Amino acid sequence: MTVVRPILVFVDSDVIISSLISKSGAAYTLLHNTKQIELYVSNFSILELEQVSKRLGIEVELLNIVIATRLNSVKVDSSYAKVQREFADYVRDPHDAHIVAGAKEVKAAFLVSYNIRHFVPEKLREDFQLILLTPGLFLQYLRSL
Amino acid sequence: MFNNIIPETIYTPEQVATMLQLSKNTVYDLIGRGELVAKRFGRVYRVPASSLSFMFTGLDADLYNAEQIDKESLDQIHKELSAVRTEL
Repeated sequence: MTVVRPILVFVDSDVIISSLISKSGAAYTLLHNTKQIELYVSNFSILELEQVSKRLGIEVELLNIVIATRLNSVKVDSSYAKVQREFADYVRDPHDAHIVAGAKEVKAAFLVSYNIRHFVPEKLREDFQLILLTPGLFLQYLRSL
Repeated sequence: MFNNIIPETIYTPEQVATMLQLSKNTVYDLIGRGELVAKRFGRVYRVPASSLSFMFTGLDADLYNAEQIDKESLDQIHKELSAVRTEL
């Protein structure tokens, strides 16, 4: 019997917040209507997700349900400042470095973000074999399998 | 019988040529090379709107539309994320 390994995907926080705002967007489809993948966030992601949800008036309970039922969490065992220094070459904005750190920790095959201009895709692919895609492009890839 | 079929706009190669400001021959060449996906019915072709969407965006029409829905809120999301990330 062939065991199909799930595809490991690290999800940027903008995608998760998008999924909480609209049920007809690509982010919602990614989080709720996909199989054969495992979605990950990090301890840093959860911190910022809680704060952004509050700022945008999104019920924190909704976020907690998504985290508990749809997402796996990985711990980046380093300070935020250290992560910013260590992953500076992979991002155009140092404040996005923790996303790359989380994806590396998971050994994710894909990083899904709506903020693709803030990353350096060639370097992510070269050093971590990590492919950066928007939710729509990742869903398109899944359809091609 | 067809209740579960989602209706989709379809075009003739001539309509596609007009829309894209191409000659009919170019459209038939694109179909022949597989760059534009079309369904052949006997001697004629029909092009689904999703094929055109894919040609231009790399996304099927439904996925393209779904991304556009998300993009309506992205400016605000990125603004808040940016503010929170500077405080982490």
